[in-house]
This record gives sequence, C-alpha cells and structure tokens, in this order.
Amino acid sequence: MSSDITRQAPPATDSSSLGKFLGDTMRRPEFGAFIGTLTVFVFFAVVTSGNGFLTWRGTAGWLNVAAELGIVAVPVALLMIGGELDLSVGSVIGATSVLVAVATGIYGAPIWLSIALALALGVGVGLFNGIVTVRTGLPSFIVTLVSMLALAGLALGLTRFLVGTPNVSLSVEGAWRFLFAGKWGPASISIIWWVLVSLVAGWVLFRTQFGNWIQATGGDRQSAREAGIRTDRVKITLFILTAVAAVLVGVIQTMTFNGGEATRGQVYVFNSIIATVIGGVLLQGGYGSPIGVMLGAMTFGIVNVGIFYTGWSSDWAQLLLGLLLLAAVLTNNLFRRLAMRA
Amino acid sequence: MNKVTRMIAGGILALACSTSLFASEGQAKDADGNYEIIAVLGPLGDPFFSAMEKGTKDAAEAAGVKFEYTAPNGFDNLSQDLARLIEVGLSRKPDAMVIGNFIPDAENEGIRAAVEAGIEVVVINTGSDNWKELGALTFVGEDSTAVGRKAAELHLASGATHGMCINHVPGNPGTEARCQGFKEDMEAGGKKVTVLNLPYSSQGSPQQIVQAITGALTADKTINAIYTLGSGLAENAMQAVADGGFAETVKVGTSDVSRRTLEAVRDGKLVFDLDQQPYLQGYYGVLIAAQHLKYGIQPVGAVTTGPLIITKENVDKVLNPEVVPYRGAM
Repeated sequence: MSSDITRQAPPATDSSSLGKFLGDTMRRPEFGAFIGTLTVFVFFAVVTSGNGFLTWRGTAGWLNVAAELGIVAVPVALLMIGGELDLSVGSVIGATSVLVAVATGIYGAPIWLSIALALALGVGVGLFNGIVTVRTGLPSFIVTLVSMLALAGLALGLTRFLVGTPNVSLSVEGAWRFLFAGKWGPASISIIWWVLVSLVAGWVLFRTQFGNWIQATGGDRQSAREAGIRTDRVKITLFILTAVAAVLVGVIQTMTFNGGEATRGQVYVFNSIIATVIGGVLLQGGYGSPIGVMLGAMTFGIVNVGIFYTGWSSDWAQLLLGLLLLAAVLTNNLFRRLAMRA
Repeated sequence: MNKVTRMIAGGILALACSTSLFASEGQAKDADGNYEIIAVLGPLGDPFFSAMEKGTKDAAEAAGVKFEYTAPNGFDNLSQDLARLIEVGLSRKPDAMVIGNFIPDAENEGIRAAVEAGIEVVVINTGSDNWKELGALTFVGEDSTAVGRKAAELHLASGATHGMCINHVPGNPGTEARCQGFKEDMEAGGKKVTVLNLPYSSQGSPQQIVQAITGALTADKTINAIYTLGSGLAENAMQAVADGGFAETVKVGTSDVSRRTLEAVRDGKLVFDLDQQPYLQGYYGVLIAAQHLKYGIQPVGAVTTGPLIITKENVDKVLNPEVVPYRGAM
C-alpha cells in the first residue's frame, strides 16, 4: 500500500535512509509485478511506435481487458493466498450471462431481478465449493472442477431447452447499463470496478483482522486453527467472494456485448491464474498482494492487446505470454527471497 | 441325458441360431424394424450446431428412423474427441452415420472403418474435398474456399482495397480455406490482404477480441474491409469498428448468421452475411441416409447448401422470428 510506503519512508536526505526506503520498496510483494508491468509496457511502447498503442484508445483497450480479468483475478488471488483454487469462475461467468439474458431478454424480468438471481447463483456456487472443500477435505482443484463442469453443462442444457439456442440477445439501456457497461470514449466503467475491487481487497488483506486470518489460513492452517481462527469460515467466505466477482464480470459482459452465451468465460479460469502468478501470488498460498495482481492483470492486458498494435503475426502472442510468465515467476522469486531475508 | 432334456437343449440351440441369423440379416434394425442413424457433429454450445441438430432431428422424425446426435462438448480437444466419437458410433453398428469431417487427419481413419464395416456414411458441413475417396454416399455443405472467394467478390464490389480475414480457429482446415479463398481472390483483384489469427487465450473473452481487432485496425489504417468467419466474431468486429471510430472507413462482412448479424445487415452495419444453412445440412444429411437405406435412392454428387447470400435486399424474410430455430440465431 502506498500509505505504508509513505509512513515508512523517512523525510531525511541522507543516503542510508534513502537506501532503506529503496530496500523496503523492493521487498514489497508488488515490486516484482511492478517491474514486469513496466517492462512490457516500455517494450510495446517502443515496438509499436506510431501505431497508436500509446493513444487514449490504445490505453483504454488494454485497460478494459485488464479490468475484466482483474475483477475475477483479485478475489481468486485472495483465495489462493488462503490456500485454495477456484476453477469454476469461467462457468459462473457463462451461466450468469445466459441467466441474465434469458430472464430479462426472453421472459421480460426486470433487470434488477435478473442480477439478483445471478448473485444468488454466485453465492450458491461459492457456498457449494466452500462447504464441500472444507467438509470433505478434498482438494479444491477437484471440487471446483466438479462445479465448473456441472454448471457449464447445466447452463448450456437449460438455455437450449428453454430457448433452443445457446446464444441469447439482450440490450439494456439507462442507469443499469451505465453502472455495468458505461463508457467514456473507449474506456469502460469496468476499469473503476476493477480498481475498487483491488483497493478493497488490498485493504482487507493488509489492514483487517480477516486479512490476517486469510494469510494465516493459507500459510499454516494447523497453527491458524490452534490460534483460534475459523479457517473453514475464512475459506467458505473466500469461495463466495470469488464466485460473486465472476457474477459481476458476467453481468458486465452481458450488457457490454448485448447478450449472453452459455459457453463464454472458460478462458478466465486459466487467465486469472496467469494474472495472479504474474502478480506475485504464491501458488502454495500464504503470500501475495491484490495490488500485485492488479499489476499482473495489467501485464496480461498489455501483452494481449499490445501484440495486435505491433502488426506482427498474432501467432506469437501466446509464446510471448508464456515467456513472460516464466520471467515474472523468476523475478518474483528473486524479490520474495529478498523480502524473506529482511 | 434322457430324451426330453435332449429335445429341450436342441430347441434352445435352434432358437439361438435363428435369432442370430435374424440379427445378421437385417443389419441393425431395432425392435420396431426402424433403421438406426448416428451423427457425429459439432458442439451444441455453438448456435450454429444447435440449428444443425434441429435439422437432423426433424429429418429423423419425418423419415421415421431411430437417431442420435453425438458431439464433443467444446472446440478445445476437437481432434481426439471427434475420432473417439466416430469409434464409439461405429462400434454400436448403426445402419448409417452422418459425420462432419472437421479435422480430416483425425477422422478419416474412423470414416473408412465405418464404410468398410458396411455402415453408410454421409459427410456434411466440412469435407467437400475428400468425401468420394473415403467412400461416403454424398456430401452436404459448402466448399469453404469458394465461400471465401464469394466474400472477396462482395467486398471488391463495394470498393475494398485492403481486406482483413479474421481466423478465430487457426489450424482448422475449414476456416483456413475460407481465409485462403478470400486472400486469393482479393489479390487476384489487385488488392491487399491481411490474415489476423486470434490466439487461444482470447476465445470466450469478447473484450479481448474487440481490442485485438481495434489494435489491428489502428496499426494499419489502410485496412478497409473485414471478413469474419462466425457470427460472434462479426459482432465483435462491428463493435471494434464502431468504438474505434472506423465506421466511415471500414466495412464488415461475415460468414454464418445470428440475430444480431441479421439485424446489422438490415441496419446497414454489415455489408453481407454468407449463410451456409446448417439446418439444411443436418436435415438433408439424415434424410439422404434414411432414403438410401429405405428405398435405395440418393442424390448424385454433392449437395450444396451455401453460401446463401444475405444482404439488405433479402434480410427481412430471414429475420422473421418464426424461422429463428432454423437459422440458429436468437
């Protein structure tokens, strides 16, 4: 957190405290992610020179992509810090998009009711994932794989049963559209949602007791339990938050792209893990920062959109993303080791 | 062993022989004497294949045959899924199979095995090049290269000088052939062509696709015509064109329909929509197989279902809400 930096930063001019300030900054969990984002940004700024990547439209383009990914990736990161994975986010996005499109577009339900139903769906999926994981002790990888498959099948089957096609149009206007799909020129309101989600998550993780519980639960569950933390409740809450974030992205996409598709969103499962890892979250849990993940989503957006401003063959985009992931993990490791030594 | 038991044993043996004879005689007709047809086609999550499935089911009902539609769940493991489904289908010994030859390298072996086993095969949607050599009864669908050429012709007619073909399934022979046909005829007309391959990491994320197209248009301002290979992609391309301020300069045309692409044709935002009519492909595929089994009659040569060219002139009829399930558009 920036407030943290300012508090730790001494007002002095002497070199030793400047060195301490720099050292502290470098040891922050976000620092590796920040260097990664900066590097790819400079890289694309240079190689796309004059192609419009640095214009407002180009910038809004990668911010929009980063925002939709980041809204899901940040809660996924909290869950990973708490020691669990969620593979069902993609299915929740797809199911939300058809639920809203069918309920309002076909059956004429008011949009607030459709959104409420989608939220109920999200809470339900989160509860299922959380309770089954905690009660059975099965890896969340398996439990959420089950809900991913089951929900995707249910969404597709029900939509086709009700309307005969998996792809349903819906156009929403007015205040609801502004709230979820509003635009200033090329920039979407999802960017504001993303920043809000990231800041709130950062505040919760580093400034509240619940945040301490998350880190303790993912770091060492046994000692966390012995210290009186209800680790099962922490996990269930985190599963619900992840699913609700996926619902938010589902609603944003349904309104932005004027309709729902049952099969939409699966790519978010993988991409949200990419963003969290680039953002410096440890896959084993216990360590990471929502602000780092925000930067991870930015890096993902810059690479995935930037490649199309280069005019190169887009076949290379995935290769670049793979190499970047490797570089990010290696730098993060380096900075984390520095942090641990402190 | 006394006489009575010997008689009973003999009777059972005779009965067993007669049932097995009966079974081998009439192929795999079910208890009601109906022929059985199994289809191996595309995933139902795609509205295109939803319409195709409706076609197959309607034809099966009309022809009075036992029918089952099998398909992979998605596009991400297509080769293996299709090969496995064909194998499962032929091991059930139906009378005929209706197969989309989307990935020939993965499917040809299974199709040949089915033909050798005496199962009649009708290839639909993809596979116009090799259905004859595989021994299929016929092919129902479109010639993908010719469709790409048609797109080039329509874009050239509306004044395109630099076309961009957006391939959202790089490596799929059908989409590659459409882009190839488009490229050849645009270049034959003395114009430039760019092929934009969308990476796997963007599939199912419309925002990424919109931004990718915006990027390509911004990076090369000479592009003034886009050809997309699916209705969802066409919607994304139209959004990129509108949001990026290219509405005056860039024209979009597409293959395959959805309600929104048809409305866009009506509103003049899409210059053409090439419909290969998946409902007809499914319907004719099953009907031809059934009629061949029942009466020994069949079309000679391939049956062409596309492209049906939809422009502002004829879009109103297509947009009639009653035809939605037949179009695969909602």
